[in-house]
Amino acid sequence: MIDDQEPDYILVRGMLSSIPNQAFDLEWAPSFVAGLEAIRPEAHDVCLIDCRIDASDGLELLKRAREAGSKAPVILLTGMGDYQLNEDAMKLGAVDFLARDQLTASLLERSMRYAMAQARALDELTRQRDELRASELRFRSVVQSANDAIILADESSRIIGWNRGAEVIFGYTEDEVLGFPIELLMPERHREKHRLGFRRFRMGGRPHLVGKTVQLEGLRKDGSDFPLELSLASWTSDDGTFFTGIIRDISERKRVEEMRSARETAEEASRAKSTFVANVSHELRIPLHSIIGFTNLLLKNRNTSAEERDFLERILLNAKDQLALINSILNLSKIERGKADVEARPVAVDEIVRQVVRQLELQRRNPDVEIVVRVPQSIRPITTDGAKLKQVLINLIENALKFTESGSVIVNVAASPTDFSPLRIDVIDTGPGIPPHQLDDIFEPFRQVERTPASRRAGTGLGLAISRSLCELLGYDLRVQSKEGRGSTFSILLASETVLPLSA
Amino acid sequence: MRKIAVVDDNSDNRLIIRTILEDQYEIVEFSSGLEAIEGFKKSRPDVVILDISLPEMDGTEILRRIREDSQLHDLPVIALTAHAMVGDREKYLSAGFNDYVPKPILDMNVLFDTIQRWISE
Repeated sequence: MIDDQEPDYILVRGMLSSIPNQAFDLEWAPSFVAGLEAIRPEAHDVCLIDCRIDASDGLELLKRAREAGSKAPVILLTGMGDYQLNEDAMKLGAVDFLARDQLTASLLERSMRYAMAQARALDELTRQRDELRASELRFRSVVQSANDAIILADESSRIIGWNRGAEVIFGYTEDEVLGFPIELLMPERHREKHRLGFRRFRMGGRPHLVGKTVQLEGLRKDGSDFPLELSLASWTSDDGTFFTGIIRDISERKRVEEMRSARETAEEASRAKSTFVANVSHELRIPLHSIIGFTNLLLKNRNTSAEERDFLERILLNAKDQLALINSILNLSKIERGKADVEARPVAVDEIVRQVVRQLELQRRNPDVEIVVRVPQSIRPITTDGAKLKQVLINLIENALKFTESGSVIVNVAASPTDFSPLRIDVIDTGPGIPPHQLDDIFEPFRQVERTPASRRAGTGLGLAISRSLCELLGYDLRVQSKEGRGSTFSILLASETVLPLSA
Repeated sequence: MRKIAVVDDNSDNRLIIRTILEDQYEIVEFSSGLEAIEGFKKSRPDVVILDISLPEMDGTEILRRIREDSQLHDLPVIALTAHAMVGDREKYLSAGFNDYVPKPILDMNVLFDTIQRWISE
């Protein structure tokens, strides 16, 4: 009780003590300042405030308390003729007004109980409102933070809700689209259909997209369109019918699907090609089998004359050349098809070079040409397909031997002086060299340097093409440098930072 | 004289193999798989030289039937085929052929050596 008149306090105390069971404890705040303390939040269940206290207005006290956040239920005690206060006091949350001169114990009790009940009801209401707010906040957060666009439209198809996902996907901010027709988000070619569907809905038809997930196209703010997936829902409240569209940009998914389909087509083509190549290989070999087989049988025959034998040898040589050609073409085709059969293992480059040179020295036909191997003392192994690297070296060294009349073929391995990793393998010959205008062509299949028929060298013209394809497969560069009349250098670059020597 | 069976639909090939081998072996020829399996049951050869690309029943299927047959399952079977691309040898050996000789035969000794390997065992 906030009242500066002690007799009032005594009166009220007397009335409260007459109520059974000591239901109320009364505390007295005899001044304005003490009243401010008493009315602070949660201090008391009910406050009785005298309208005039310390020559101040009780209402002023109430106002200050409310500003300080007090929610205590307040009953104002008024004197005669103070009823005009009522309206102001009610705005400040006073629950009741009791005329001091008409106060009775039962009136006081009823008023206080009523005030407390109302305070409790208010508390409950506040709690519910806070919960609702929190729930709405959570819901808004979900909507706002969704990656998908969530768009609300009213029954005249105007945008009334727009989340961050929508902003990201369409490029418009909320302010730019609210109130605009949803058609804004559709490419021109889809708008008429939308209008028709909407008209049907307004005439009582069920919107045919509701409850479904469909793939459509959207229009961004920048004018570009994109594939989207739309799930459309509708609901009806007292305010009318509303639509919620959840929209996902599926450009990426479409792109992946297209890539997968393109890859499958390519794989299909590759399989078809493999089968074709295998069949061709088989069919080309069959007649050669007969040619070579019967030729060999005739050569073995004791009755075959020397001249016949010579002719048969020529047939055999040509048949074997043709077989080599078939093998080369099929190998090239197989190499070009893919990396499927690269078998990488740690290999010693110097050892591979020595093996190849040993093998080729046995087959060497021209005794005037020697093969010189230069390998650094220390060299680290590399991880590669040794068999394929070997094949490249065989091709390059055989080529060099084929085109060198006299002198030497040098096989040089260069390694890094710091970590001994192999950098480069050079095959250097002292042959006729390659004219500059043909340097670009020599790696193409069936290109041999054009020469007079007399000086033409045998070969399929596929060795360098195969070598380069193999190098590509292994991730190496194959380069050539050449000077006409001086010779050529073919280099396998094992490391990308390799620098070619200035001249062979 | 040991008996070699040649299964091939191509008469050129049968003639080549026969001519190469007939001084040293008894040769029996078959031009189809069914005919061959019938023949093997009547008179078991020491080694079978089997072509792969045959009409109706191909060499791999003939081999499978040989391996499933209680009498014939341990017959030495050599694939003689123009399927001779990289990887084909491994393919046929892992399919259960005892050995593999590619067509065309460049060196007749290869054929002799191969047969000899399976006859001596």
